[in-house]
Amino acid sequence: MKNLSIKISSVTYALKAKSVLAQKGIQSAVKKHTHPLKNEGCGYSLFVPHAQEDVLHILEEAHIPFGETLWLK
Amino acid sequence: MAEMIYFDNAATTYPKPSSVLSAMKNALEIYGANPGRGGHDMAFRTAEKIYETRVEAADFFHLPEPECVIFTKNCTEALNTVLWGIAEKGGHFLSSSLEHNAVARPLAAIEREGICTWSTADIGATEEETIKNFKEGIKENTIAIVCTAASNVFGTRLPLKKLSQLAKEKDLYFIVDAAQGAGILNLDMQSLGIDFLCAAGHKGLYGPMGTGLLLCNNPKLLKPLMQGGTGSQSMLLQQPNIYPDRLESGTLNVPGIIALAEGIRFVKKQGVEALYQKEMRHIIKIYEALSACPEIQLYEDITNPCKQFVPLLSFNINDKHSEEVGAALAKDGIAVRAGLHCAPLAHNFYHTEEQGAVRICPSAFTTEKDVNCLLNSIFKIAKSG
Repeated sequence: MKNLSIKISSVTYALKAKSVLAQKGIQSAVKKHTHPLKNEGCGYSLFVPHAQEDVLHILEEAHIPFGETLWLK
Repeated sequence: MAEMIYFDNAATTYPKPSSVLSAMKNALEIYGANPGRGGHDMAFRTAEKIYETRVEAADFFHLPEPECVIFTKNCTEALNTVLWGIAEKGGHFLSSSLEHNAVARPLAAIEREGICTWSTADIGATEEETIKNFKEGIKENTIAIVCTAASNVFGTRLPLKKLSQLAKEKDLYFIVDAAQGAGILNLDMQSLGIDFLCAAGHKGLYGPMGTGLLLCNNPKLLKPLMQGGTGSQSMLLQQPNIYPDRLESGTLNVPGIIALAEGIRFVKKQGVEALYQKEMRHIIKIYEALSACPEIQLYEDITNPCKQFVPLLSFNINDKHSEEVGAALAKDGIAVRAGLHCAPLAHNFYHTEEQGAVRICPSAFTTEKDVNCLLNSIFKIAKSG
């Protein structure tokens, strides 16, 4: 399984995402963007270690807006 | 200094639970970073504590989404945010005749600026009469019904469920000023059908002053009252279109918000219904004692089964100005609120605009002994001529 990094612009939504995943038994961590794109400005990432494919679906179902996703080795 | 007996809880509750005091201290010591800004540990820990308060507040008022809990500095700011936020050219607001200036002044300003008109519906002798008055007050261009959950002067409750049904029938927003209701009434936003609820954090929720809440239970994206930094989407020269960022510009009142969570937990632990019953017992005792005194004027029969009240009441002694009575009580070490209570509409409605009224409001910490001291002092003033 790979690690997943999900861009979320607001810290509130990032924390909500963390809470929603925790309710499903999925651990995650909120981090500050370290490489924001030119037009992005400040923002956060949710880092999900050993993520399953359904993580993004869970966030969509919880109406959590997120941006770019990155699967990491 | 002699011990003060505090009956000014409708202005702000005092004392606060010890857990609220500890939370304030801890916040300054442990959660000292700016949440939603920095990427260091303390900033994240602080952001988590702020999010915890959103979750507590959302749960307390049965709001499904914690991000729709907006922190403001008081109930007035919350009301201004929603009223200015939905005002559209050519619209009309309908409010009750008991509104505090936190509702009346923004609506008057919106009218003066030629954006919307505003009218009031009188409170009736029964709930049915009140609903009838509201029905008659709705116009073709009405956009919202705005009402207090309970008068901050006379304690009169409004029939929120029926007003909400009326608003839904007419496709209007239903906005509730819960300054005097939050923490003492069960304000379930879902079952009551409230679109926007505004509350003070420092009254019945036992948080610190400088805290308020706007809870948004409607997909309408409010126009922000204020623009500025949100720690998100910083390259944009416009407010983000997501809550809470859209309506929370600038640094938050972190110690206040963290302590507010403890205030809400205190109310949850005591139980809203238990607090209501306890404080109503005090108020009914005061009401019955004052009713028997011919020098004292009361304005509502709080035992009337056709109407409902929150635990507060106002009175006058003969033709003494309320401020004179308030000062005499203060000399006896009893804190009350006299005057017009920032609610001229309510005083006009009850014809007390000249004299004002003396308001008494207990809290979770009020004792029987406090009530007896209050009554003794009032009777002494009443008999002194």
